[in-house]
Amino acid sequence: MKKIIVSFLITASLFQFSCVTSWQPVVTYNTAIPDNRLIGTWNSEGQDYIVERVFESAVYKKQKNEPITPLIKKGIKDSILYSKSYIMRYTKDKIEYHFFCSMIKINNEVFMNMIVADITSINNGGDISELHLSQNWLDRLHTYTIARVQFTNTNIIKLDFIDGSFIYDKIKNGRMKLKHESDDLYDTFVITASPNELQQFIQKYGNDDRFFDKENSVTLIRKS
Amino acid sequence: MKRKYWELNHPILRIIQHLGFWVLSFFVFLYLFKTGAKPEKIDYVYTILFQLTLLPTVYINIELLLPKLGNRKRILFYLLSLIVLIILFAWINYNFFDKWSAKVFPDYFFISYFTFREVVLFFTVYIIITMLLKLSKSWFQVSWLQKELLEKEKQKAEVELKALKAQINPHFFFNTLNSIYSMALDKDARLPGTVLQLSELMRYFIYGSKDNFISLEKELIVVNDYIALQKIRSGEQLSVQINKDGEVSEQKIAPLLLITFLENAFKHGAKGSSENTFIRLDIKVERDKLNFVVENNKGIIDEVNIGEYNGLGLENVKRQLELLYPGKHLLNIKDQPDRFTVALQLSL
Repeated sequence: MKKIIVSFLITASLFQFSCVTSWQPVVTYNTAIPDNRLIGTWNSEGQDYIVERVFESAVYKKQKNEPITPLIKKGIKDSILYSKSYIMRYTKDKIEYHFFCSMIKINNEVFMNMIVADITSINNGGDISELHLSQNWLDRLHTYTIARVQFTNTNIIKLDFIDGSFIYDKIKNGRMKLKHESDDLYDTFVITASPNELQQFIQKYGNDDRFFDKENSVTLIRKS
Repeated sequence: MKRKYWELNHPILRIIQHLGFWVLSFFVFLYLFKTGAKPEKIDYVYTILFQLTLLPTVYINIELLLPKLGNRKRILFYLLSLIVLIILFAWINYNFFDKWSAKVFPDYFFISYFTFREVVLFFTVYIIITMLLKLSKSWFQVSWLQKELLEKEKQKAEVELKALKAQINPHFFFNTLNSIYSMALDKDARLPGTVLQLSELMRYFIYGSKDNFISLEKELIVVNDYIALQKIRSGEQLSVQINKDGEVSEQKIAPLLLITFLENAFKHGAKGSSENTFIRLDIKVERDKLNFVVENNKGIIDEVNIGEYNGLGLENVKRQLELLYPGKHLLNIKDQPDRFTVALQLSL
């Protein structure tokens, strides 16, 4: 249960709203698609977001010799984690968040799953111990957030996050059959369905606007 | 005929059986398909919908395809139809959950949690299970019917046996009374003794032969009495040779079986007018086997003509043997110009 709460809080901190958290990725090795239009510096409501290739990212360079999460593994260069994925980083309250992003195309729409790759404090030269984070703690962040990605043009990207509260409401009311674990005490949940099931769900309901938190859609505008 | 509730094919029991099967199947599926630690409302809905696609598949197979095509001549056509049926409903199942359910139940969200191939496999296994259940039920029904048929055949045989006995006894007495009648005409002095022995035999026939089987020992005593009775009325010209071998203990035999053959021998041989008539009787008893041979020479019959009833005793005893010793007896009747031989081998 502690895993669910921690994962939920960290993931939600990304854009400050209720997004869905999944224990499994929707993007798998065979289905991952790269899209370099994502690379660059983006801004949304005054907040900057930097997207770069995994190989070029600070988190990769840092963790190359010192892997701290199972997401980045030494010697596995031909995995989606390296060649077909991106790192999105942003700073908030003097803490730098690194998200690992992979994309998939379903029904001619692009979907992205994001997972916390690293969290560092910029005050202490990236020393994560200052945040009282341990390897064990980071392992608990191993949950994915899923969003629909719409490239309006090369300079504008719209992210529609899957609405966690809608999904949870449907699950709680016995209207949605999706494997999950819930924490009744904190009223949170995490989806535990397999990547294949997640893909099928998106394939079937990817065009259903009820699934997306339209009010909290994020529009990223390219800065550079 | 009104069927009883506990009979396998009674409509009410049949409905209960089918309901029981589907309820059991429902709960097995429910626990198989549940998404959380315990089944939730959506799992119930999903399981019901999943079963709804299985129902027609199962019933089309067991109520239509199997009875109409499930024989050797049409087996290939049956298998082909079964494959089409499975693929069709697996396709319906897959597409219903994968696509159509969003339109039919817009407020319920589920997908096909199995690939099409898995659904086909699932349906195939389910069809096999229900077919095996159907076949095993049919097997039970066949055994039940066989048992009922055997019971009815047994009852029929018993009725027939009673009728045969009812024919044998008067037949025997009719012949003996004819003999006594002849003795009375001859003013034979042995007549009173003969009547007395006949009285003893009647007691046995009337009271002792009600069961299907009596002890062999008793039957042989009656055989002896019967021979004695016939010897009295036949006089000195009849030679009766009796050879007995073996030990009689607990063996059982159908009553009056041997007497009927003896009666026949006396009727056709001993009472003939020719001289030096003989009857040879060989009785060999083994542990569970009886060899009985009676042989007589033929005389000129001077009995009262009994017309159409002549030979009725032998025919009756043959039928009795068929009913009481099916596959356990060997009867050989040899009718030669000068003699008549009956050889009977019985497994006791």
